[in-house]
Amino acid sequence: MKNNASLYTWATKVSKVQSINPRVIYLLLIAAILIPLFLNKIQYTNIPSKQSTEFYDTVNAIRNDDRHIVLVDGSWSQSTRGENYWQLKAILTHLMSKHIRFALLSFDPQIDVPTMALVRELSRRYPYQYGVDYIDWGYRPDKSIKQVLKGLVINIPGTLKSDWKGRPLTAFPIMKKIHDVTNISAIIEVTNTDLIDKWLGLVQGINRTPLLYATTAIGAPNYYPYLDSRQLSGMLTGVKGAGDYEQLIGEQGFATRATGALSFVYALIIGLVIIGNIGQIAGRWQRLMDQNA
Amino acid sequence: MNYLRHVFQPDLLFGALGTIALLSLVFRENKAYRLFEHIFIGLALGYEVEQGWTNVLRPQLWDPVMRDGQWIWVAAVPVCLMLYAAYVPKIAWLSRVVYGLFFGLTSGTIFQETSQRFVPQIVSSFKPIFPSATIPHDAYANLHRLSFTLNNLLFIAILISVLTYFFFAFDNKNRIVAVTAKSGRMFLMIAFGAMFGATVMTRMALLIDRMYFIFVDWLRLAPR
Repeated sequence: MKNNASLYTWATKVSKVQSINPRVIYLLLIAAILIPLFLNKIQYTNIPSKQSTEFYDTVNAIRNDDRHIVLVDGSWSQSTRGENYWQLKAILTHLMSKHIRFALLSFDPQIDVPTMALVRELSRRYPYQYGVDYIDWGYRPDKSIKQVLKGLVINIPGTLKSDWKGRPLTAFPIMKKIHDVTNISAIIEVTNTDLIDKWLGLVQGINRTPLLYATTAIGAPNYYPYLDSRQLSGMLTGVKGAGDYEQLIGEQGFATRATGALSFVYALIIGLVIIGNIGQIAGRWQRLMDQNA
Repeated sequence: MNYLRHVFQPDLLFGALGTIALLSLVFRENKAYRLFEHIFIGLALGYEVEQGWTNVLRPQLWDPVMRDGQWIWVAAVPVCLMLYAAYVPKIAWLSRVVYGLFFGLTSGTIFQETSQRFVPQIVSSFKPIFPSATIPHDAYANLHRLSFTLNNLLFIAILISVLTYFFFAFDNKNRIVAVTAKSGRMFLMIAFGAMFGATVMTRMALLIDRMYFIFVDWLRLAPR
């Protein structure tokens, strides 16, 4: 009888965790993020995933000659900056450290300016000259992606005509020997959308051009089967993928720290899920005891 | 002094205030949130219109016609206007001509896109259960063979059970079919759980980025 009374008291107390003010949870969440940001001396063990390593290996194996360029399509928006920006930064750092020539393209109007600013920032470390080592093909509306991609396969300068400032593509030295998809040694798609479907369907299958995909964690699960079928040669998943890539190229940037913060947040969420379930079970016991009394 | 100049730098300050105002919604709906939401929508729309003109309409249509004298592009204008004929019942058939053209072009492209995306998936679904060849001088050959077989068996079991779950053509009264379909549903639930986990990961990554912006880039309270 005494045991039942103490169990009832315990169940009543514990079941109250179900009605915690959500704002307390938000504050805990922010604390879990800030602790690793302030204590940046904490060392995290991060094992790069298989798809991140494949991404890195594919970029490492790219031919670097004047007949080939890498195409980097950055079609994301500021709403996923937390993942896509850091992926793009790690990828461009790798390309520029190996002095691989590349072209930028975007199907989102927000991205041209931050991407060019990023390239200029990285150019201080790795001297890159516009029109010689890299070029920006500019923004094209996503509604026209099918026409643009089908055009790229057979005639790049004829399809795009001009760079982001409206200057003719053929006027740039980097474009002298670039005619069609056979001159693209790899396509890197950094996006928060499903534009990769179009690249897979209209470009990758034509010439078996290696296609690399950097996406948000939320967008990644649908594309694991494409890794299995080798249609995708590698994939970076969210900020964890960016952290993997930073580690593989020997950089320690935001993504490395964010991966650590993410681990703290996961620990908090797992803890809250367990506590919430205990509270729910306790509440059920309490109701059963109320009914039996 | 330098620190204050940094904190009150207009672009950083505006970005930080915008972030704080939008995040404040989790505590309560408020006027600051509404203000910055409208600023964001207005900015995004204005920017998109400007980019559409600068990067698309001007170089692709305006300049070729007005500067280079390629008047042939003007022929596209009446074709585009035919789409608006849908609003006038008497000449609505004009819009259907353009739609018919679009349907034809899109169907052809989608056929190519779908076949190139999914045929390799179907081909890669036919997996061997036993490995055909092993790497020479592999010290862990037996372990690798076992892992290959287990992986592929698991893949085939999941593929068959999930496909069985989506058999709606007949009643699943046969016990083997029913159990297979039920396990297919369980595998799907596991996949949905993983997807939900990935969703949480994205949301948290975005929050981490904003916290980094506020405490590292703007306030410089945390080390860079």
